[in-house]
Parts: sequence; structure tokens; C-alpha cells
Amino acid sequence: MSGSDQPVSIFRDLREFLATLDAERQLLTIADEVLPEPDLAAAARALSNLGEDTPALQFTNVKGMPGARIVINVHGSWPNHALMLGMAKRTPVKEQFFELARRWAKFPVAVERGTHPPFEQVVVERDINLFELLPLFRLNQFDGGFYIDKACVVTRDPDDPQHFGKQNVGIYRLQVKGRNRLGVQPVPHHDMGRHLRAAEERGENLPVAIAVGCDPLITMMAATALEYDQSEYEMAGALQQAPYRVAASRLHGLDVPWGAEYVLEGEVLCGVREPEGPFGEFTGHYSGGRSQPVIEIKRVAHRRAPIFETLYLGMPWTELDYMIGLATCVPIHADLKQAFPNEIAAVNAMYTHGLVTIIATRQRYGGFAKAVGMRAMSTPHGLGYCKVVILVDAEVDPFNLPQVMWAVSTKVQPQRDVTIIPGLSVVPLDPGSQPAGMTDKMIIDATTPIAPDVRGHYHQPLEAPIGTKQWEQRLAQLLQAMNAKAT
Amino acid sequence: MSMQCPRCNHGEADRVAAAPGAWEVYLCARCFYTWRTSEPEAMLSHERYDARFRLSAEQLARFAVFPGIPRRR
Repeated sequence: MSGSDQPVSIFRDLREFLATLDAERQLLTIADEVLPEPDLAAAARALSNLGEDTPALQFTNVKGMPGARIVINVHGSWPNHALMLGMAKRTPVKEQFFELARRWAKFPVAVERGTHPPFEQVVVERDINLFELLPLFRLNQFDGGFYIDKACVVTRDPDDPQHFGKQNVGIYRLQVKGRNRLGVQPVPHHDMGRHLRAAEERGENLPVAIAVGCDPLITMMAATALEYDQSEYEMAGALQQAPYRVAASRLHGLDVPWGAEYVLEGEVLCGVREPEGPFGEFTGHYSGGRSQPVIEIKRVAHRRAPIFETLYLGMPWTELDYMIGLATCVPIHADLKQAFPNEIAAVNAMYTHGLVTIIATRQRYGGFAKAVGMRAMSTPHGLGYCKVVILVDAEVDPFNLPQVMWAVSTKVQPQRDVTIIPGLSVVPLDPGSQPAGMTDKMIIDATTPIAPDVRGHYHQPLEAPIGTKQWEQRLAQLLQAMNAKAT
Repeated sequence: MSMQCPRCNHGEADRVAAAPGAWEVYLCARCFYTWRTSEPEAMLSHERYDARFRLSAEQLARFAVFPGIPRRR
């Protein structure tokens, strides 16, 4: 379906996607008994260590959790990412990037409103105990507790509650800190942080709905930084090329993914802060502990025999990096394209959520690439990321790190091509930031100097022997035939 | 319930879940640390808990408030 505007495979819920993963041999079930700790997290970490093509993991026999079904690593490989987009599972990463960017441009696609969502099959409104309702476990050894770290958290703007686009769907780490209490980390520059600030200025609690175990596209969108008034649901519709189905939550009428396994509803308590963390984060370091806001849960709805989906994160690469990798690249690419439509070729911002970003660009004149680097730092995502921006020529594939390293090795003259900009903002979780949230940033211009920046011995570039492309195709076919015979 | 918190050594913890014969889960009333009795030994006692992650009452009192609480309009 790549390149077509027809609806791609639409996964109405996590179960449909798991069935596809199973059919494509991308789902591994562990039916042997395992311990909640350390087995579940250790298995997820180990899986990420085994390469880029790993399956999702499903645990069906966790000691002391009869009937629990826990899935991890649903997004955690390039084949799974391709299948989520309705593409062939061996689709190269760069092709997935361009297809995602193409569909991104179709935003917005209006939602479809579904009735009788399956998560209303079982409802708990009294004596809620999240420790019994969810098969919770510790992810990293020194996490302050058990976290829900892959849920779609939905809030509205208290100053503009009817605005559908300002309703936010985001992934926020949630520490289960009591039978009906969650710690939450709404960073001020994230949309939920803005919602909470408005609610607290008004002296009100902030209504919240938390959907656990959703279809893979909305979870990826929830982890992506969109503009403040852009709806994640309308972007999910663009990506699946068909309306996204939502359902209204019962207590507050928040729009939640229709296919969710669980929906927890409650309120962020106005003016309340309690110890939270530490939590092992995507930077490969613990976050430290702070006093953070608290959610009180008032209603839990879930399917019969619900599936609990979670995600391991730690030192990259983990499932998180696959889930947010391309979705981080595409908005930066779109912003740069708007400024320089004829020059920008591709963007790879997959390293630690874009703390390192590689941009392939054509140049109009000497010094142009550096300006592209500065523009990247001033995009909405770049304001908190893009700590190191590497510029390469358009002919270099930014997703091919050996090619990028070749460009850095041969095109960079440090005195001229490395620029350090002091005192810029960065995500406070960057362990190198000092004080937290402040950093210097760096542009490495690894493009070929062009006039008037004339220097270096670059006028005799080596080109591949004539006919190489044809040989590539011919050999690929021969190798495919050879492998087919072997199996 | 007299159960010492492995992280902050507070003496009051709530048993929030139990799987008979397998494990129990406790929640510290002061620092909100949560642990399961089936976790590795080093995670279950304050003496053996990694010193880099232990918390004292003083450290807890100094926790930064994040995000700050805004003024009412």
C-alpha cells in the first residue's frame, strides 16, 4: 500500500495488531512461568539487545498473576513499525520515513465516533485498587515503584474545553503510588503541562482519562510532539488514511481510543505535589526524584481478560526508540521543508529522541548548511532537543551511519565546520544539562564546502563504477534466489 | 503494618496487594516506594539497598517541586 491514498490496514485495537504480528511471525509468547521481577523487564531488555528485527513478547504465565496477559515490545523493531504502517515487514527504514512523511501531510482527517466500546465490559467504581486491577511490575531496578509507561493520557484545555484539537493525547510516565493514586510528570512545555497550569490557575482539578493497551498508531502519535492545537486522533486518521475511531469517557466526556483495553478516569489534584521517581529514562539514566502532581482515579473500565501493554526503556536502543524514532524525524523534516522546500532531503532525528539529529540537505551557497542547522534548533521539537546537529550532503543517506561517519571524517575541518552555541534550552532529562534544562548546542557541518566557501580538495569525488546500480539489482535477485533454495 | 521501607527506612508501609503463596506488595507511606516481597534480596532491606538510591527524610524534604504551583488567577 506504500505510496497509495487508499486506507491501509486499520488496526481498531491492540488485539488486531497482535494477530497481524502473530501471522507475520513477529509475536513470541512465553507460556513458561516467570517472575514479575526481574524476568519481565530483563526479557524486554534482552530482546532489544538482539537486534532490529525482534518480535513483540507476550507473557501468559506470570507468578502470582493468574490470567494476566502482558505484552511488551509491540513497537520494538523495524518490521513491527512497518507492519503498523501497513507496509511489508522488510521495508527499509528510509522508505518507512518517506511514507510516514507523505501521509503526515494529509493531516487532518476527522474522527469517527464509536459506541459501545469494549472497554466498558467491566466497570469498577468502588474500592479501586490499581495494584490488583493491573498486572504491575518494576521495570528498572531502582525505579521508585511500578509504572504505567505506555498509556494514552487524555486532557482538555480548561480555558477552551470544546476545542477538539487542543485536547491532548500524550504518553506520560505514571507511577502507581496508591490504590487509586498515580504520580504524573507533566513537563511544562508539553501540552498536558499547559493544561494543568491553566487548571491550577483557575483553582480546579484537571479531568484526565488514561487508555492502556491501544492500537499501535495512536500510541505512537501520543508519543509525538505535534503543534498545540493539532489533534493526535486526526493525525492518526491521516496516517491510516481513514477516520480514527474514538469513544467518549463516562465521567468527563474525554475522547479516548475506542479499542483500548483499560480506561482509567480521574482528576489531577489542584496544587498537590508528592514525591515521585526516580524512573529509568530514555536517556539511559535515572531521572532523579522530585515532588510532582498526583492523579486520583475514580473509575476503571476494562475489557474482560484485558491485555496489559507496557514498554521497556533504558539505554538506547529500546522499544521506545523504535516507537518515537521516525515520528520524531517527520515533524522536524516538515518544519525544515516549509523553510527550505527545495533543499531538505531527509532528516534522521532518531538518537535519544533527537538530541542528535542528522540532516541531509542541498546547499544554495557557502554557509547555507549551518543556517539549516540553526533552523532545526528553533523548530518546536528542536527547542528542547537537537543538541548536536550534523549536516550532510543530500547524496548522503542520513539513516546510513557509515555514510554519515564518512561525511564527518572527510568533509569536516573543525575550526570552520564546528560551531558551538552557548546557553540554549534542552529537555531537563538530559543528564549533561547544567543546570537541568540548559546546555550548549553544536552544529557539525559535514557538507561539501561550496562557493564562496572555497576550500579543501573536493573537486575529484569518487563515483561508483559504471553499471553498479544494475549489478546491485542483479545480485540482490541472485541472493534472494539462493536464500530461497536454502530454505 | 510494621514493614521497613527498603529505600527510606520509614517504618510504616501499606500492604496493597497479595498473591497467596507467591508475593505481597508494600507501599511506603512516606516516600511512596513500592516493592514486592519476591524481588531480589538486595531490593528488600535498607541496609542492602544501593546507597546511591537510598533516601533520607531530609532529602525528601528538599525534593524540587515540579512543575511549580502557579498563582490563582
